[in-house]
Amino acid sequence: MPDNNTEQNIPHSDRISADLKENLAKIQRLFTETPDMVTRHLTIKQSGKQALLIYIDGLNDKAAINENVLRPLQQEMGENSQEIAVTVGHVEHLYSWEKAEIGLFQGNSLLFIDGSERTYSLDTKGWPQRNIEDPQLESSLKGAHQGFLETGDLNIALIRRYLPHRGLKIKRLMVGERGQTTVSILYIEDIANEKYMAKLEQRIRQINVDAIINTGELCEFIEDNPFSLFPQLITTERPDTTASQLLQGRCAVVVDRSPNVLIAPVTFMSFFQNIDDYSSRWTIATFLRLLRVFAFFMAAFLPAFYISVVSYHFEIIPLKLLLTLGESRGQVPFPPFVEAILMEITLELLREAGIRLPAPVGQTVGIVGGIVIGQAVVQAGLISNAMVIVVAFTAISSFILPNYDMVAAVRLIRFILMILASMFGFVGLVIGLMTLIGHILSLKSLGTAYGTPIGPVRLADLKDTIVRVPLWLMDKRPLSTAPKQSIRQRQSRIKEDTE
Amino acid sequence: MSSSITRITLFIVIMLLLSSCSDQLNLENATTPLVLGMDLDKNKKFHFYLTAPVFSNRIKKKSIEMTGTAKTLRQSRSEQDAQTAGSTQGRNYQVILLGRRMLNYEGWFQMLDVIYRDARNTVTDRVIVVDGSVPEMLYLNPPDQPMLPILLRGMVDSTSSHSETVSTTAHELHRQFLDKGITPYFSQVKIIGGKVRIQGTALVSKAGIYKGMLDAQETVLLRILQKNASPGFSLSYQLPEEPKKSPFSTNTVSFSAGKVKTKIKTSFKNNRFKYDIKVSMVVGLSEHLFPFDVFNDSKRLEDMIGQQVTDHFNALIAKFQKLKVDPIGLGVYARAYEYKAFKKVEDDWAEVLSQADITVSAKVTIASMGPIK
Amino acid sequence: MNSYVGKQITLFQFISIISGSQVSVAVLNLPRKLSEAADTDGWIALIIGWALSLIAGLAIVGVMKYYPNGTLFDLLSEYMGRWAGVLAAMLFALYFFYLMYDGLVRTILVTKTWLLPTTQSFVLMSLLLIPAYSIVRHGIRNVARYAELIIWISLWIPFVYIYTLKHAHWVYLLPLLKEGWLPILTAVKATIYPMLGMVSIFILYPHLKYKEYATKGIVIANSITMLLYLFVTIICYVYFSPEESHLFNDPVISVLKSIEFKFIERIEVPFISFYLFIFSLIWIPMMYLLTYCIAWIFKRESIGIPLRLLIILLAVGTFFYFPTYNINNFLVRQLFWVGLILEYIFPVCLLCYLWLSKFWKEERSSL
Repeated sequence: MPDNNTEQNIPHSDRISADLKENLAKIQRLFTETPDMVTRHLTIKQSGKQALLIYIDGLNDKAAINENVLRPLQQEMGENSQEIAVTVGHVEHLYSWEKAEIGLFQGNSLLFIDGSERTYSLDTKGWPQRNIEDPQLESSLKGAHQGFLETGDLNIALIRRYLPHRGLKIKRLMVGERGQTTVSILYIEDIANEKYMAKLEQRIRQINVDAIINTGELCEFIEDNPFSLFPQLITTERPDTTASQLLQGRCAVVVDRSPNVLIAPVTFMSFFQNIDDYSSRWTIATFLRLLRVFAFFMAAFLPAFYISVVSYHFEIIPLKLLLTLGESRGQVPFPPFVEAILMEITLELLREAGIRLPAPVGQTVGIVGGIVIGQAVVQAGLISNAMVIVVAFTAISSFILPNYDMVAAVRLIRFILMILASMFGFVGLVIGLMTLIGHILSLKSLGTAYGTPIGPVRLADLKDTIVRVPLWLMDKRPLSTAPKQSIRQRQSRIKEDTE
Repeated sequence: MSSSITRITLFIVIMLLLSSCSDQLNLENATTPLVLGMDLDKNKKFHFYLTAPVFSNRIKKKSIEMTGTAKTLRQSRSEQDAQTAGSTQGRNYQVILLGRRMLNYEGWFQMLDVIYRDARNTVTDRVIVVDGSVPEMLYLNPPDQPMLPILLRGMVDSTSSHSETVSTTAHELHRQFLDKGITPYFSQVKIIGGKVRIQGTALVSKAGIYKGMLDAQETVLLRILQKNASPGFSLSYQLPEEPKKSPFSTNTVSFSAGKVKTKIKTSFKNNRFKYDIKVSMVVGLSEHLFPFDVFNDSKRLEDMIGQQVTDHFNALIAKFQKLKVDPIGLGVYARAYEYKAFKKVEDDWAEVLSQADITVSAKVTIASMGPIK
Repeated sequence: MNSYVGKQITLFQFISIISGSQVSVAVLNLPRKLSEAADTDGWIALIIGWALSLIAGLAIVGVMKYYPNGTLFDLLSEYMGRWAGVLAAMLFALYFFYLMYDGLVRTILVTKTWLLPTTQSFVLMSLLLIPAYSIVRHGIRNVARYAELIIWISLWIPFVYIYTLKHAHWVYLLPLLKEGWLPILTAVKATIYPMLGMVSIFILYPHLKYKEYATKGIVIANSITMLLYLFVTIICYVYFSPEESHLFNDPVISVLKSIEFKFIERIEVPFISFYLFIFSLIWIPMMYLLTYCIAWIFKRESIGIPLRLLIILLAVGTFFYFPTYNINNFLVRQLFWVGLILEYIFPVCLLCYLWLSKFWKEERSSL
């Protein structure tokens, strides 16, 4: 059994006493106002010793305590041995109060036995937990329908199901003074470049906060450029995505109590990928990827483009469109920029309203948005038809993007570009794009270039970014992750005569 | 310290940027004339005319016409602004209408300078000469036809796509005026019976003086000589060899050409330019009103048609030489192949060309005769 | 004195920077300049100009081979003492400033002519400096990546020019050598300015990942530039009549005015806006090189402070003074001489000096 804390370096005050009464007094002193703590006195039948079992109500599996701890201890079972006769999977010997306390609050039950200078930390964890469900934000058509849960160990188990190999290594760190969150860094030893590992670990160790409630918080602490609009790390809800990323030489960070897993390092193009790309045929997957890139530009640039055309460069509009556009613009009392801002803000309001509301009410929001705003506003002559089309197009485009964080970034970029377009037309638009490109090129994710494979250009990596070539042609892992072992496969497909 | 400098600079830059958007002009605030018309009145006074669409569904009439007199087009801008709600922009012209009367005087081309000099003006607007007065056309507004600019543009584009007129853009006009080896040409329209009609192609001299007009058939031939005929044009001729039953022209044969090859051989001998032009076309018969056994006797028909085409070509050339114009651009060939000789005479090329020795011969091959024998 | 680890650039990035800074603004009026001197034979001069630029480029690479792990200034310090390095750094800083300023001014003038006629120059200048600062700030690698990416995303532009061939008059190119060789030789002068920018190798060389490819790089870069110029020039010549081709200030843009698509009436408006990317390929790399020179003089690793000062200087300076088209043309004419000396004559002389000094040393040691 593991005995992972040596007795020598524990200060006296923190040491668990051999006297049960003393321990009980200490417990009562330490845990005041803790009504959810259950203290149970018992006599171990085997040895006849007095014992004390404490656990936090609700964090434990009651059936396990009854069946696997209390019953074996109170009934005569097995031979008379040194070890206690509990039938839980994992028992740890702890000598210090500090460690014991951590274990207690993580859902272990502590067994103190009179005359023993240690406590047995019994793994009887079992807290309220939802079932494994389809991931909400990243649902897939053909992929698995399992999403991560709020329990770190289970999440790791879900990943391991995809990678049953001892190469998958896990480095465990504790973060947070009060929260004591277990953060596990997962990587495949012979693929992942250790410099990312080292960087991740260093950055996570640097975090000194009360608690990490969610993966998103961790993200903010370890991102390379916290001022950027772009997400520089991916959080995913999908074990299969995580496994696939691990195989590409990236690291995953599992944060206990959070249903999101962090992937690092990533590139800008990673945000356009989806696990379904690999399970559908490569032609359609390529088409979808191109569509997403197109959608990204639409979502970011379309309203700005509309503004600059209508208020600066209307000479480029073909004649017939000019007449239609002019007619629909003619009755609107606002300049295009104000019109666009109004509609875009309405769109954002509708979106936010829809997210928080329960599903039946959410539908009402859709109806109100669609009919009242969409139609009435045009009929009242407040907004032009063209603008409604532009906004609708923008909204649809932004829904296509698979990653929520990227969509959020695009929303903000859209507003910046709209301002630039309303001041300088196409010139503003190009300057915006130039700055955007410059910004993406300068970004880094865990020290690797965020823009690969398009800036710096890595032709080999383009195979699985904007397009997806057939899987049997992707013989190498992406160069951008600098993997230790770069061959992914060799000749995985038999070439048969076509006759 | 350095980051605070950056921030202050950024702030100043943003403030400066926000303070300026002087080039903004919203579509609905602009008046975008689609037709620019120019003409002289009886007292030789320069008038300009504009038609702009009206962006409102409360007003029934979809366009507004403006007119006025001015010394130059650019000067007319203030006159234009005074007549409309928006600021007038020359960015969306679809057609430029020239009054026939204006073409009696040299120098009208210089008046167009603003079209080329103001970079924001379009140069793809079609140049059209109106046989008659421009205002009459502008105020025609027939209820059963689309807006004038759409009508004119559409007419010129579709007619020129089967080579029956030319689609000269403002930019092309510039080239024709500047290139010493060619004289300008553009399409011509006229109001006939209350309807706008394309008449053909107007020919003007290098100085811009109106010289004459080509009808649809002649324009097709011109475009063949320019190597610019789009496949699919159709020609019809009356063959004198065949019987004619009055009042119907039953001796007519019509054909549409597929592939046309034009070879122009240029030489300079005895102080005269000599052109030897060979045209060969592969045609499909679309109509022959007289009985003819095309199946067995196609060679004879080919020769007859070829003879007709050759005659018409030569008549056309004679017309050019008489009018002293060179819409084919034979001067360009002269420059390319007889540079030294051309260089000496380039400034009155049209005159020299009228003395030149030009022969055209056409060869017709019948490729198909339709489903009826 | 600099370490180049982690600041390396690839061969393609090297080519992109050189070709990009050569083409950028110079391409706009090159066909006009050539036709002013040699009419429609101007394109022949391009080939001669290309041969000359190859000699100069190879000389530059040849010089750098004497000191592969440092810039020109390190080399000069090594061979002649630090004063020579500092002098050269100051000279080149001025030269890079000249190139950059010319690029910026021309960009603004073109933008003002075609897109935003009444917007103030200093506003446009500040606008252009925003992306420039955000790219240059992160050093040579970022600049190189930017140049590379822009080259990739600009590859579609030539295809649009092919579209103008619908109105081409190939017969305009004839006769060849219409006035003999003399006008063509005078037109070679016009090809010097559009080839300027090779001198950046003096500073880029130590950053190059595989130095053995430097020769290949300069040959490819100059050839790409030449082919592009040839393509554009011939397009302009067959499109405009010979009388017109010296009439349009920026024929490369004017050509586009006549293209009509069904879905977009005037292609040149989005085009000139997109051209800003290509124009930026002169001022962004030059801004880096200039700040590098200044940082080198003060023995600093970081270019942060000179860069900020430069940006402020440009923004504020433009507020008070901005050149007109004529002054810009005058600047370009002067740039021809400066460029000729610094990019063509100086490297060749330096190469001779280095070769001779090595030769003497060997002579002496063999004695």
